[in-house]
Order: sequence, then structure tokens, then C-alpha cells
Amino acid sequence: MEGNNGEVKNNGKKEGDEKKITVLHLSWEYPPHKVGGLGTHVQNLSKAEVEANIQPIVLTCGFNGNCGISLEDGVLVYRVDADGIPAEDFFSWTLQMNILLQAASAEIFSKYKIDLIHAHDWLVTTTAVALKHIYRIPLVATIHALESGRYGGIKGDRQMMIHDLEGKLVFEAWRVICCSNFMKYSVVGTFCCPEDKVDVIPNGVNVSDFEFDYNRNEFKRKYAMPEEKIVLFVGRHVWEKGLDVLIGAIPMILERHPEAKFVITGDGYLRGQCESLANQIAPQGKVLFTGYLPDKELKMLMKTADVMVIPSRYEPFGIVALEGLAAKTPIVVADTGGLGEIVRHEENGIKIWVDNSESLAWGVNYILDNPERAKQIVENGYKEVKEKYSWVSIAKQTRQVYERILAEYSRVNWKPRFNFWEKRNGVSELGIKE
Amino acid sequence: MSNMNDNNPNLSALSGKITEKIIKRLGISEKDIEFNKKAKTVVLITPDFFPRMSNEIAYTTNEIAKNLAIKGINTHLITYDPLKQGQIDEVAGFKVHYVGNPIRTYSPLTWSLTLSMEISRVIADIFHEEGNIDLIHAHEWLTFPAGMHLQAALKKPLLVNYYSIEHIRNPGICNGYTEAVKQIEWMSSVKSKKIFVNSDFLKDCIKKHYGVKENKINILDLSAEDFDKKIVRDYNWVVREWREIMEK
Repeated sequence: MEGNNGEVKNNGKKEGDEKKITVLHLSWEYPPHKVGGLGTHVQNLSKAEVEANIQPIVLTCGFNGNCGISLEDGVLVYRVDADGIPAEDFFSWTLQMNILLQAASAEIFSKYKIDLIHAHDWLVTTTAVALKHIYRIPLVATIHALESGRYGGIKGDRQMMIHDLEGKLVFEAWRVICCSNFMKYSVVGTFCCPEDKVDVIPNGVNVSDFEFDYNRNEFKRKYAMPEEKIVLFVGRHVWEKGLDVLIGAIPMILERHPEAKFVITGDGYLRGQCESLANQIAPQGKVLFTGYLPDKELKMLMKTADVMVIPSRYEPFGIVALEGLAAKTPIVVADTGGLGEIVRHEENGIKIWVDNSESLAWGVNYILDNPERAKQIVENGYKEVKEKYSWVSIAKQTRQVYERILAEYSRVNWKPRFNFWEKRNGVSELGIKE
Repeated sequence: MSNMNDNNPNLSALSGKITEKIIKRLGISEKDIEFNKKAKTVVLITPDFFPRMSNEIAYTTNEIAKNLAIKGINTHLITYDPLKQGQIDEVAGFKVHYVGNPIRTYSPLTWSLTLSMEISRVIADIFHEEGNIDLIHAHEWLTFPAGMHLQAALKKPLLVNYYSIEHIRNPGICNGYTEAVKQIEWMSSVKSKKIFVNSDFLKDCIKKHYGVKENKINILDLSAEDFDKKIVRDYNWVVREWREIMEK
């Protein structure tokens, strides 16, 4: 595909010939507001899209007065004031928040010519669907996870509503993007969505974020003794992340490697239970619960750890595995969902059985027993994460999806009958300074 | 520019003459200009309508739509009916579009907020098929979220009709649900161009609780002899005002 001078790509199309695509991303999370990995995903994707000749506009929520319009690394970010929205609960709050998104979207559409709407997860469904029909432009949906997967089924009326909103988003989308084949077939199976409507584009990681100098030995002293080996868990303390599986494996690991030290980051509704269980089965000082850590601290901890464990029961993708590989730390993952697709056993990580403490103990012991083999696995993983999971590559794949949709859209009659607004500028003409 | 014209009477007269000449050249009569400032296509949104529901909201919206149709105004009524969703019936000269809610919800608030995307879809289709909508008239708070979104997106005036307010329905109760409904009612009272109510009592309540000015609220008396004339007059006034704002 690449010519001699490296300019010709995509079947003879020159890079400069690419049309600039303006995309409106709808996401309730965007840094600095982060709850899960959604905000980070949208931020990294939209930043990389700028490089792929896409103009991203992000419509999101702002909290603690952090609202308004700003240009951040080429991404135009609209944050609506989401403080103090009265609601019955989080679910109705989400729908109420959509009223604010809708008001702001009218302003965006009156200023810019938007080619596509890109919605992220069920929380923005009502706005995304309404905008699609009002402006008659295509909608792309990224399904990051499914409610039925998060809780192992649909068990109540609130979950039912989320499930229906996910289904509606999938139905209305021109194309659906999932981060793994596991998610693709979950969406296809759950919502009877045609298989060829779904594209798989993995999540990414910025390897450069892990390339910094620090004093490893000094840093390690904050979490473990110099002679101890850190076994690290990064994730929310919820059922699907399988922290209890790790706690169950602790005695078996300590039996073989008494120098192991278990550092557990994050928080969640199972924290109390897991802490008391760990206190019962592990010697004092062998398990440390840190709570949420700042980004930089967490990255240093990932680089310092001797092994990272991801014993999830449900994992649509498992971005934490990529972070482990980028930090050059061996990873032991449960063979589930996206994790099973990222990791090839003994090539770039160790796969263990799902929901099985014995298997997890074996995986951790294997890495600690064979440091030379672990080193080789880490090298393979690092090389792969750099090539396959860079955000630039992901933005290019996303652009291909956009191009396909726009080509199909140009051939159909479903279009706005009128030019709504005469004057719509490009973002560069807005004059907002970073 | 307008300030400059105001300050200079010669300039103002000149621009007036130019406008006159253009109108003459294009063959536009004064009647046409006035006609353009009248409501020609009106959309009513109601949660309740016949045959699914027979209540005050259904009766009022039916009366309005019927009278508008008699006056030659192209009238569309959007209502919720899960058994007839997707159907379009022609009733007494106006069209009734039925929508369903594909989302299973657990409260009137979540029902209203999810139904709004279906209402938006149907009204957007009318807009694209027919070429224009002059005015959106939303009845009861359940349809206000859709009305507000469409007003902002299509840049068309919104009128809202209150039959009650949350302060009356749940007096003295202050929880997440009631506060959310109050906020929707308040936002709509601010964003709408005109408010219709069915009694002096409700008018006073809206003035008191939502701080709306008296001249923004009209009492809709279906029993009045000139009810049809009044509603058309109010609609035309809103359309004219809106056009002037948009032109500025």
C-alpha cells in the first residue's frame, strides 16, 4: 500500500487528498471528569483523530464549575454545566443531563458543519438518536460494555432501561464499533444486530506515557520491602473484576514465594469484604489496599511491579493489560472477553482460567519462578503494544469506518431537505486559543 | 447597521425605497409578506389523545387541532399510543402521528425523557418532508423536553400548555423526582414564547413558582365563542415575533 516515497496510501489516494471530516463525539465522561475508562478513551481517540485529518468536537459534562468551550490539543470540547441537576437517581440524572447536551448541540450545529455523530455508550442515546433524525446525518456508536455483561444479566427495572437504551443506540447507528470480537458477538447476540454492521477496533495506549525516568528502588520502598516481589492488581473492586479470585490465590502464592507482596489499587463496593478476607488468610503486611492512586503514581507502580494480575470475570477489552505491557511488566490475565484476544499464552502474557484461584496462583508462580522467560514475554508484549495498539493506528482505523459511512451516506436519499444554516465555519476559523 | 439607519433618517428612507423596489421587481405583494408571518404549519405534542386517553389534555388538543384545520392551517398532532405507533391517521382535517416508547422505563420522568427522542424523530421527519414547521405547541411537562430540543435545533418557536404544575400535584414534597419535574417545567416556562393555561388559579401558580411575567401567560378558554380566532391570533403573534427576532 505504501509507495516509494511513503506518500501514497489507500489504493492510490494521496494523504493530502483526504477530506477533512468533522465529527461530534458525545460522551458523558471526558477528562478531567473520569469514572471508568470511557473518558480516557474518548480523549485519546479524539486527540489522535486530529492527526488523521479529522476535526473532533466533543460534547460532554463539566463538573465543579469546569464548563464552557475550550480547544484542547486541537479538540474542541464543549462542557455543559452538569452540577446540581436534580434527579431521582443516577439513571434519571443521565437522561436529565441529556437535555443540557441537546441545548448545547443546537449551538454546535448552528456553528459547524458536522459530518457524523459518534456516540459513546448508552448514557447519550437520547441525544444521539434525536440529533441523527433532526439533522439527518449518520450516527456511529461505540459500545464499550453491555449492562447484561456488567452484572451477569438484566435483574431490575433500571438495568432494563439501560439495556433498552443500548439496544436503541445499536439499532439507530449506521455502524457500531466494538473494542474486541468478544464485544462484537455480545452486541450481535444480545440485540440481534447484523454481524456485518459491527467493526472491531481495539482500544489503545500511549506507550510514551510510560517512558519516564524515576528511582525504582526508592519508589518501591513506599509499597514493599526491597527484597519483596510486588504482585499488582489495578481495577475497581467489583464482582466482574475478580479481586476475590486473587485474594483466594494469595496463600498458594505465598506458600511458594513468601517474598511476594500484594498491592491492590482502586476501590469499589467489594472493598470492605475483600479487605477482611485478605486479613484473615494472609499474614499481616502482605496485602496493601491503596485506594485510587493519581495517574503518575499508578504508572510508576505498574513499572515497579514484578507481575500484574487481571483476574476479571467480564472484560469487554481490558485496557489495563495494555498498560501492563506498555509498562514492561509481565501480565497474568483471565482468559475472558477482550483479555483473551490481547494475550497469547506464553507469548506476550500468561493466560489463566476464569474465576479460578488455583490457576491464578499457578500463573503468578510461573512468572516469579522464571524471570528470564518473563523478560522475553515482556519484550514481545511491549513490541506488540507499540505497533498494534497505538492511538494513531486506532484513529486511522476509525477514519476508515467514517469514510465508509460517508460514502454510503452519499448514495442514499436520506438527507436534510434544507440547508439549515447558511454560515457554518470550520473549527480552525473559530479563533479559540488553547 | 440598524443603529446607523436610525441615526440617519436619509439612509433609513433610502433603504426603505430599495426594499420597496426589490419587492416590486420580484412581484411580491404585501399580502404575501403578511402571509409569511402567519402560522401555516403547526405541530401539537400531547401525551394523551383519543382513543387511548380521554381526558382534559386529549379534549383540549383535539379542539385546538380541529379549529386550526378549519382555518386552513396544516396541523400535525403527535401523541403516544403504543398500540398504534408508526400510524398516521387523518382526523377532522388534521394528521395524528402515533409514537411508542421503545425504552422500558420505571417512572414518568424517565418515560418522558426517553419518549422525547421518538417525538423528535417524528417531528424532524415532518420538517424534512413538508419543508417547514412554523410553531411547536407542547402540552403538559411530559412533552416539554422534546419541545425544548426541537425549538433549539429547528429554531422554531415553542408554546407550552400547562394543565397543572408539580407544586400543585405534590405540594410540599421535595425529592429528586419532584425537583426534576419542577426544573423541566421551569426551563420550559423560560424557553417558550407563550404559555397557555386553563384557569386563573394555574396562571397565578406559574407566576408565583416559576417567576413568569403576566403577559406571557394566556388563559385558553375552550368555551369562548371566539376561541378559534384567539388561538390563531396568538399563534400568528408568536410566529411574527419569532421571525422578527430571527431576522435581527
